[in-house]
Amino acid sequence: MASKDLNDVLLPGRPLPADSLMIAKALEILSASPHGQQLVNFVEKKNIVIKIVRTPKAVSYLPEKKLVYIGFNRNNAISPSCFILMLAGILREAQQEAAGIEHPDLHAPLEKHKEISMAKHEDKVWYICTVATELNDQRAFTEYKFLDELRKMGHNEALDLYLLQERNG
Amino acid sequence: MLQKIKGFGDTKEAQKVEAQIIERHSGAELFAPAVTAPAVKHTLNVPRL
Amino acid sequence: MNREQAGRVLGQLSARDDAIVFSRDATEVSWRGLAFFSNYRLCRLTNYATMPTFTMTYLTDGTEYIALDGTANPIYTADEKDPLMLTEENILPYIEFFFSHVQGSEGEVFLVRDPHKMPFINNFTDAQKQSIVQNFKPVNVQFDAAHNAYLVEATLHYGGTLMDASIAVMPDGKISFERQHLLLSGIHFPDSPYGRNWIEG
Repeated sequence: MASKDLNDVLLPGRPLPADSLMIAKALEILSASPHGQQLVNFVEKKNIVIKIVRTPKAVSYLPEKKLVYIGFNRNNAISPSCFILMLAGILREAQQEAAGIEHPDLHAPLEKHKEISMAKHEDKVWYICTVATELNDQRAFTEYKFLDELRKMGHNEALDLYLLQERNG
Repeated sequence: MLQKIKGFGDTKEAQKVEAQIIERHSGAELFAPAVTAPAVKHTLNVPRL
Repeated sequence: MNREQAGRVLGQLSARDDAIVFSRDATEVSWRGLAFFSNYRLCRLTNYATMPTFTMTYLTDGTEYIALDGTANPIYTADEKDPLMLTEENILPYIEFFFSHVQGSEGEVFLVRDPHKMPFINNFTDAQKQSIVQNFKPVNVQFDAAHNAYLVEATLHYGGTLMDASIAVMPDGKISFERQHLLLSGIHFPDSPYGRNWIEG
């Protein structure tokens, strides 16, 4: 049994490629999937700005319709496949907002929040599952293990349901 | 436009999202509808450790 | 802090080159003092406009804002700017503050003060609870006058394990692990032990 090393916690952050390079590579890989290509087209057509920030935990954030953030801890950097799938998810949300499907105003009844925000999340997860499946089917991306990564991201049950749904047409 | 995943509502992930929705909705108490400036939570009375 | 001051905080933060955008209309700004700092305090921004809400925490002296990013660097930067006042009374709060904002590859470190009150204790089986209680080593704080440093022996939770560790805290706030020993494995927390509470200070 391997013991954890507490000194991990004290690292000053690991070196990573430049933000612009990580974003460009992620968009390049996304464009290899039909649904990912739609997101890349959306980024180009709507001039979506993508930024990487340092945050304690991995997070994606859409504070404005044309501005998306991907954040993660430099001591615990996310894998390239996780980065790509997180980007796909937040870009899908930006697409929803651009289409006028927005989260309810804070003062709307809770039931309306549950209905709309849950539907938006479900759609986002459907989209990530679709992109992950399309990329996973390509030999060039075998090493990225997109479906395994999706499960690690907490979409395990959703992916099983998605695959079942796709299989049954 | 929105896609569905059959059975998604019964997943643990959906429960987690519902909790996030409730947490966000609780913000309504912090921001009065007619006020545009950000509301502030006072913590002046919290003792320092 | 009143509403006007909260607006000023958002204004100060938005002027930075590396500013993260927050909603002007739906961002809660709250702050808390930290006993081990004279001038710096914690400032937390939560944007309720997005789903889920988005939170960032900063150390600030009212002029400069240092974003806490999950590494030790921002805390050490603040330590340099506002020399720490570490005492036997606040050394544990400093360590807990540090661990609640700094993570390793296996996630968060949590200092267990009392095994019966450990987060998620009721999620474990009776046998696991018994092992946790039996293996637990109480916190022991000593001052090493020769190095002007505190040495804290404590039981830590990290990466699904309980560890007995010796933590050295230097006067400048730098932390190092002098010794670490695995006590128990298979103790996985289902979520963050820190939650979203203001336990930091």
